[in-house]
Amino acid sequence: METQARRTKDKIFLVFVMFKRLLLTHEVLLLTALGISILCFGLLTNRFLTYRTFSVIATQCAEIGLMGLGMGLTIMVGGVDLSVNDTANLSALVAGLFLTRLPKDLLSTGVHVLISVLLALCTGILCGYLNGFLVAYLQVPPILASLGTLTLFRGISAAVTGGTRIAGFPRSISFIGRGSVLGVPIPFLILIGSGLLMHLIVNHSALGYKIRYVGTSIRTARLSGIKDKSTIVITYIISGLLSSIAGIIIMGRTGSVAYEYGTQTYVLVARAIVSLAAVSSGSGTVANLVLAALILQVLSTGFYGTMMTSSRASFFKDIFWGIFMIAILIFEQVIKRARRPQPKKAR
Amino acid sequence: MQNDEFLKVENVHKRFGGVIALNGVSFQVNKGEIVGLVGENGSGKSTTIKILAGVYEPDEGDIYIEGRHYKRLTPIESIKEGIHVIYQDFSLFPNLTVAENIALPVFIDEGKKFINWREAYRVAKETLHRINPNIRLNAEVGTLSASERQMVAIAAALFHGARFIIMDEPTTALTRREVETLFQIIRQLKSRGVSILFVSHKLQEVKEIADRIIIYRDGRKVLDRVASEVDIKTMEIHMTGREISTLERDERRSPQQSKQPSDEPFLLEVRNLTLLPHFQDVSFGLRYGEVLGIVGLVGAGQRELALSLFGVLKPQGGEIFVEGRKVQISDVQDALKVGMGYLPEDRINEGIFLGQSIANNIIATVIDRLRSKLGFIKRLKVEKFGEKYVRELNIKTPSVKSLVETLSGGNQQRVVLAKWIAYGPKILILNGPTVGIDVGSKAEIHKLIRKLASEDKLGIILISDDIPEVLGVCDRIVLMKNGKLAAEYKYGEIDEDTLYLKMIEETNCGSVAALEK
Amino acid sequence: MGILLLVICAVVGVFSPSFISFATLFEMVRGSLAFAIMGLGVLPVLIAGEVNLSFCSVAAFSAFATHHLLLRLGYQGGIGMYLILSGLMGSLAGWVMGVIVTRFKLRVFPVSLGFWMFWYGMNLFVISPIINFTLPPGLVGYYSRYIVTVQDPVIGVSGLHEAIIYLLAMALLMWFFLRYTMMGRGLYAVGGNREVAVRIGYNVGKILTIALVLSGALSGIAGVIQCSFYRYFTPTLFRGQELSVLTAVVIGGASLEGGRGSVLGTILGVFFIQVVTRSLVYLGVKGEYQQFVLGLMLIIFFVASSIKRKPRPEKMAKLEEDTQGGR
Repeated sequence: METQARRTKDKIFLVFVMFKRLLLTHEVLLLTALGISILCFGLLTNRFLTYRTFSVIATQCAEIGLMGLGMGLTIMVGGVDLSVNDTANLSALVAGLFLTRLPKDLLSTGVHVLISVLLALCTGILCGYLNGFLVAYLQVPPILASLGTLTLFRGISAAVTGGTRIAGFPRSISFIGRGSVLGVPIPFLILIGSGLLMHLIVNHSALGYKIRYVGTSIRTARLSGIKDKSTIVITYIISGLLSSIAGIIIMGRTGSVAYEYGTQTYVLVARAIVSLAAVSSGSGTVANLVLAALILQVLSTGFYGTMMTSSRASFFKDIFWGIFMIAILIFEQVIKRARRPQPKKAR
Repeated sequence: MQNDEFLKVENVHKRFGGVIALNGVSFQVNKGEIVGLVGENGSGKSTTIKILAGVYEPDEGDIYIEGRHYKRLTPIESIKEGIHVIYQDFSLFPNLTVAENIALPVFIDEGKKFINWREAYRVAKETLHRINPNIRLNAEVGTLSASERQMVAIAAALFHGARFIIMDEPTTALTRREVETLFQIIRQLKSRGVSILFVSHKLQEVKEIADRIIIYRDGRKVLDRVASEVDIKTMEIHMTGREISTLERDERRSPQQSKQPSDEPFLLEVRNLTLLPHFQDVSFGLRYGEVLGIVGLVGAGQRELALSLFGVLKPQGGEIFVEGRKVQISDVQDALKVGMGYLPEDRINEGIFLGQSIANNIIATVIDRLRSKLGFIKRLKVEKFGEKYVRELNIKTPSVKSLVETLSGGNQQRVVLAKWIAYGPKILILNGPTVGIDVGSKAEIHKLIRKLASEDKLGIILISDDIPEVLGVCDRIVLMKNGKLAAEYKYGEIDEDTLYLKMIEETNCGSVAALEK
Repeated sequence: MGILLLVICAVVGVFSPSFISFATLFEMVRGSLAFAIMGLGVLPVLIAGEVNLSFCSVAAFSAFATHHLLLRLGYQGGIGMYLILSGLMGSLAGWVMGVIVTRFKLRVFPVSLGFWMFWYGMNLFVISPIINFTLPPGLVGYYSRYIVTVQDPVIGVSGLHEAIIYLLAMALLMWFFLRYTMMGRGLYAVGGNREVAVRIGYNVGKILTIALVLSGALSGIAGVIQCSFYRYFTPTLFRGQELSVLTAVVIGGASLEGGRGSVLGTILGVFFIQVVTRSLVYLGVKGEYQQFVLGLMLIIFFVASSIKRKPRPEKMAKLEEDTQGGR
């Protein structure tokens, strides 16, 4: 009799645990957060629930989303890439220089723009390769390596431009940053496209498995015959590539290139996206990263909208991002504790 | 024994959730007595250590220290009573000097706010001199050898007023010569009235040093006798609860009699492989279907040899032939290409991917082969593949999607083996395949090793400290000594005690390191 | 380290003789003063094995907030009150971070990224986004309060600024703290092996918090000194200088893995960076290239130090160091 009762109790407990797990699935959590934040801002100001707002959110979330994706991947492989923003700026700068310095009538505009985009992507790949090489082959701790390259990339950009901004690009470039197809902004489409591709890579390709193996335990990976070094390098290259795409979008949207664009904020936001998406070395999903980017952009735009009355509104962003970053870190820790099944005591 | 008692533990129980770690254990330790505590992993040794250190609270039972009664000890009480644990990692700061490592814990206890360096050096010197005057006080601990660090840890405990030192697997990182030094120090401590609890799984060493031996099995004390009255065999039987080695040997030999591996051609030949200062001029052959055991004391070079074969270390000279062809192995990928697999000793950090599913663990070596034509990997395929090996190796789990850390040690090790079997190697190098694994799983892993050799004709190199294991499983055993192959025995040619004696016997040739000069 | 400095000075001196003079030396001392003080604050945190990037923004906030507060109160005096108040604000900022880090068991690095933004945001949004040139009477002329004055053909009148006394005092205090107090040794212990530090009875949270408070206090002081040199208070003081200070401390022998670092090394490291950037000016390198050179130096230095770390093939069972560097 007693065992019967106990068994039922166990079953109820099991169902409860499963329910709790499901509720705490990160996708569900993030979607709820997204819904709540949209709802809140919608109630707060009537300017929020408009097509314009959403188009701004969709456009801007692409930039941080792409950088967040890049940083997320490098964190998955057990490192970190703090140079995402400066990679983006440097790539855009290379493209910008090509567009403005080359005589316009030499090539048709389409080819011209295409080549400049390709140059930007190549720059991204090179930047990523440098990071990966430092981390994998020269064994520089990832934080340091990317702090160093961050300074270097910014230094190159500053030196090449002499600290000025470059502007005056053909219209097709601004189409990448500002255009839309069927009402959906191009940057957002690029983000979704890259996100899908990354999802395929992370979850359904050998490379994705290897990234997660190396992130989980580089020693086990190496002793299982996985080429850990080249896996790391490729991951950083992908991160650089994604950042350079972000760079092109920024260039298209703002119509100019400057070495100091974004600077700390974007690195911070990218890092916050990773925290919010609960990506850690060896685990994480691309869907969460994209969702996290969306949430952050909704919050940022929403706050900006409600604060529009103040002349210093743009500075409020700094405070907001700072607090938000810390709040997310705390939140992540609390969630981690809640998720952990009852702590097993070691014998 | 007429000695007065220092510590008495009576009827101590401790359970963690549903698991009983200690089930009514009683024993006593006298002043100046060396007690050896042995038992398999999970038998309750470390729980006992932690209860004495005040980390765990016993559920039931009493502790008496010089007659003073405790229901439980707090860490502070434990230290005040002079109980000190020297953990396997020695609890030292690698970036601080020897003197500071010795003095700092005491200063903290005394509630000091400032440091008088002169005093720190003076007291550290006094304490350390009693143990080893050759260690420089201002050397950074990180630059010391394992045995020197251990001496520093002992000095720190003594300085802290230790009257009862618990040593948790103290010889793991030591060479035989260093073990001798440690034993001298332990005897010296004994003569000063300090009691020692020597916790180890190395039966021979325990027998050598201990006055009295206590054996645990499944949370109970199953033997408590004066060391001179116990032999290794008895210890082993008490530890495991049965006489495995002979039983197993009889069982495995029968079907295999038909064809001896010595009829087979060589699968792997190693000629004059050298990596100073670890090993030199090592030559041996491995036939199809043969299990070759390599034994030796810690630091004899067998581990480095294995890592060199697998491409992790680069040998300085020598040749390796696989199936008659000379091969160049300069990294792990090369080793895999010629058909080698390697099961590392450190299962947790090098064998499995913690946090990944069982299926993901199994497919790690073959991930590139599972690609579809478009280059994608289907999750279903991965799971099917994993399930196949879970069944084949009898891994006990509800699902291949479960995380690998939910498995017991034995099952985890089978996952690591599955990973390599899936790859389909010709040569499998096993480095301590049953370290920290319970007896039942151990026997099954042994059976599996035999099966791989006799049925799949794999050549297997087995490196192990577990002499009965090597004697039971291997067709041939080579003995490594100071980086050289010293002897070779066929199955059944040598027994346990003789092999052990051969291992510790001083050699005339001297070490490779000496030769180098 | 010191030798390296002298060699660089000599080489630059050969190319540009006017480089070697007392005036240049004093100018460089003055240029590195505030950074050296901040570096001294970065040091204890690094020794404890954590990386704090928020010190520049803490310096900016403490100095700027102090300035506005004192102006509002009609303060007339000199730098003394500024130092005290700003130091207090800095330590408060450090304490807040310490509490968050220990309470939620977080790494300092990501949290400090948040505060890095936050304090600059506080300056710009809450206080004022405008550079403030109004100085209290006590502070006017402070920028040229020299202990020794020299006349130089290139630089003009220059001298050894009196604030060097603060640096020396702070260096001495920090040296004493790190070497002779149990807390100071605790920092090394925590950086060397955190688990063992807990085992022998150190309160790691408390130690970390103290390190962060010290870091905040010194940042606050550095902020005021730098602004008094500039003769204006800016909300974005030191913005973008985080890395060069961090590099200076690392070049001075502190390890980012914790457990190592010294006061003398830190000061020499800061001076080294100063000498290198000044030399670039003397050698005719344009300002825009300085960051590029700094980045290059950083990478070369990190690579060199990680290669130096490498030779330990003794226990190959451990393979090489994991690539996990903390995030």
